[in-house]
Amino acid sequence: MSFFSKSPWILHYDASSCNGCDIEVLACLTPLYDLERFGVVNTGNPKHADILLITGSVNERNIDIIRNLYRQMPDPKVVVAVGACACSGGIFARAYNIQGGIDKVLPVDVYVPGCAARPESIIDGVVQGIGALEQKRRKSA
Amino acid sequence: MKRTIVPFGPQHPVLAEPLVLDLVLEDEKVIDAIPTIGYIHRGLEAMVDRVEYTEMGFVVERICGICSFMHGMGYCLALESIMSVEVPDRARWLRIIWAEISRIQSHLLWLGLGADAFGFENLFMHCWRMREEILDIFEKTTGGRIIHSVNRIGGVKRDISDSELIAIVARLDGLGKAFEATARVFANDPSIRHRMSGVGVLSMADARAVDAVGPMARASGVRMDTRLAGQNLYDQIEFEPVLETAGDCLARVVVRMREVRQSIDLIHQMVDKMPKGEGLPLENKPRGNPSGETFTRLEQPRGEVVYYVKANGTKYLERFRARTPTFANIPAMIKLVKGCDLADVPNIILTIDPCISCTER
Amino acid sequence: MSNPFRLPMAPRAIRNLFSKPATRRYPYEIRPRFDGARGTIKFDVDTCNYCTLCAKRCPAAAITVSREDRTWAIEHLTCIGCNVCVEVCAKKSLAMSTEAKHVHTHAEVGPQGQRPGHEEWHGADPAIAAAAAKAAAELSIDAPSS
Repeated sequence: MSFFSKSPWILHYDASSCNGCDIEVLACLTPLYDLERFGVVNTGNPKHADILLITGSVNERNIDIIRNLYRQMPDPKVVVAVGACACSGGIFARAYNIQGGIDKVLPVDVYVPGCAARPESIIDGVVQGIGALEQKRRKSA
Repeated sequence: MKRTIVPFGPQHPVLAEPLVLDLVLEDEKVIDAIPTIGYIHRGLEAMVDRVEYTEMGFVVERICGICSFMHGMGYCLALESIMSVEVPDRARWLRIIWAEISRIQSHLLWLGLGADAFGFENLFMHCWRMREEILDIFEKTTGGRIIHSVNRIGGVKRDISDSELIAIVARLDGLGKAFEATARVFANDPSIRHRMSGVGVLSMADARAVDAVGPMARASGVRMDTRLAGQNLYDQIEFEPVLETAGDCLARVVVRMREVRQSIDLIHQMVDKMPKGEGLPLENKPRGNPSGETFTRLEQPRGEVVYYVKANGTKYLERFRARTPTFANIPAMIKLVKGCDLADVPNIILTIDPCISCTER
Repeated sequence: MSNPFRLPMAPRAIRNLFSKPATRRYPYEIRPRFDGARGTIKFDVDTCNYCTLCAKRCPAAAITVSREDRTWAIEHLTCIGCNVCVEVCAKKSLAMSTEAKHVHTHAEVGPQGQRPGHEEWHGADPAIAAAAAKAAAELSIDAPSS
């Protein structure tokens, strides 16, 4: 896992998350954890991104936006679901407006559990996501 | 002149959260801003008919991950007042100590995000590095970095030993010193002054008219703070809200910086005044099911939050409602955005410290 | 104030040049977690009496317990680590370890279509089960909340 042929960029989208996991995703970019060591850059543009990092679960309102962001990303692409809500709906699975985890809409490659997901787990998840991206790249090449 | 509509959000680099604004522009001036909400709506308040009142506290805690401690505390206070549960003294003091620590955490987080919004990434890193210290304190004492889950109806689940409390105060003092160096940059840096000073001015009369709350109102000189009401032991400590008069973006930054120092001072007072000793009672378990209704007010980092709880004698509450501070500050934000330059919009939006997941729940 | 040559960040920047880096190089350098930090739920199948109280109290409904089949299962992806199940367990079969939850991949779907992060235990012989059922009946009488 120590050599990657490319530096993957990540796109972060907050789908009905409580902010807890978003803040932890941001905390990963700060000096203490520094995700950029792995060549990962947080971008705001879906066309530049290889890894889609989603926090929070799917609801009626953002389902189209999630699909839209995923469609705009170039192939190969990887989806990392961060936090209990993104993995399965978590505590909000029973709420009336929540349809469930991100895997209801997109093919999720890596699940990062925890409420809120710890920065260490998010780093693990992104590193595994990079591995999945490499595999897909080799398959398509 | 021709009008253009620029959509802001839901996926926008300046804010991690999906805030959606349709900005109506004439040239570079914003004429109108139309907010759209619902992207993070989970239907949290309606979960009371599916989740028992004992477990509902964990759901309420997850209204927002930044002030999660205060949300859990507010819910427990409301239920305690309905069920007339006497909370042990030490638990009450521990609660407000944790609450003030989470205020420091929230303000440091915001100062970092604000610095990032006006393009000072270095300062963002410094603020978040200091915030990690606070998260360490939280993880050590409550077991969680973001979501603490220590509040129960009738008390708190964990104790902080007296020696640990002294260590925390010492650590916060060290943090205060490091914070002073950063605060000097916020106060003196010419680029910050240039971007913040005189931008988005909310006068005192306007702040009252649109019912701004929290640091937003205090930056405009409105003496308003729920802690002044003296609930939750705040009557036993010396406290005077931080006020600024300019009402611009810089004033809102300064209010939050001064509140960080004030919270450190408040924690000093609290640790001095709280009952000491090992093995003091922390929790009185409630008996039976709640019946009745109540309002609870708390001062969150972003302003006043109001909880309404109605219970009907069963395991499930009849109604739960939270009026969160960002919801109250949105009219003020819309007022400020109208008439400003397009380039100032991210700054103004960030200085109200928006928490969209609080607003939409 | 408007002097452009004032550099308030300079002392900080110089100090940072000579101090040790703030970054913890995570996968290579792991800081042990604090005592009492909440991580993964650990289950002890030998002491459990299948009283189902943990499943009833779990706010996220992550635990499924079957008294008849004597199975106990948890979805680690749904668990929010609130510690309630550990607090209510009368037999102390549950414990909160400080170990962080593991990251799961899509490839980990179980043979019967179990989602990644599903963990399941099966209880032992029926003689223990009979004793457990008796204990469970006693326990459900003193169970609070009803």
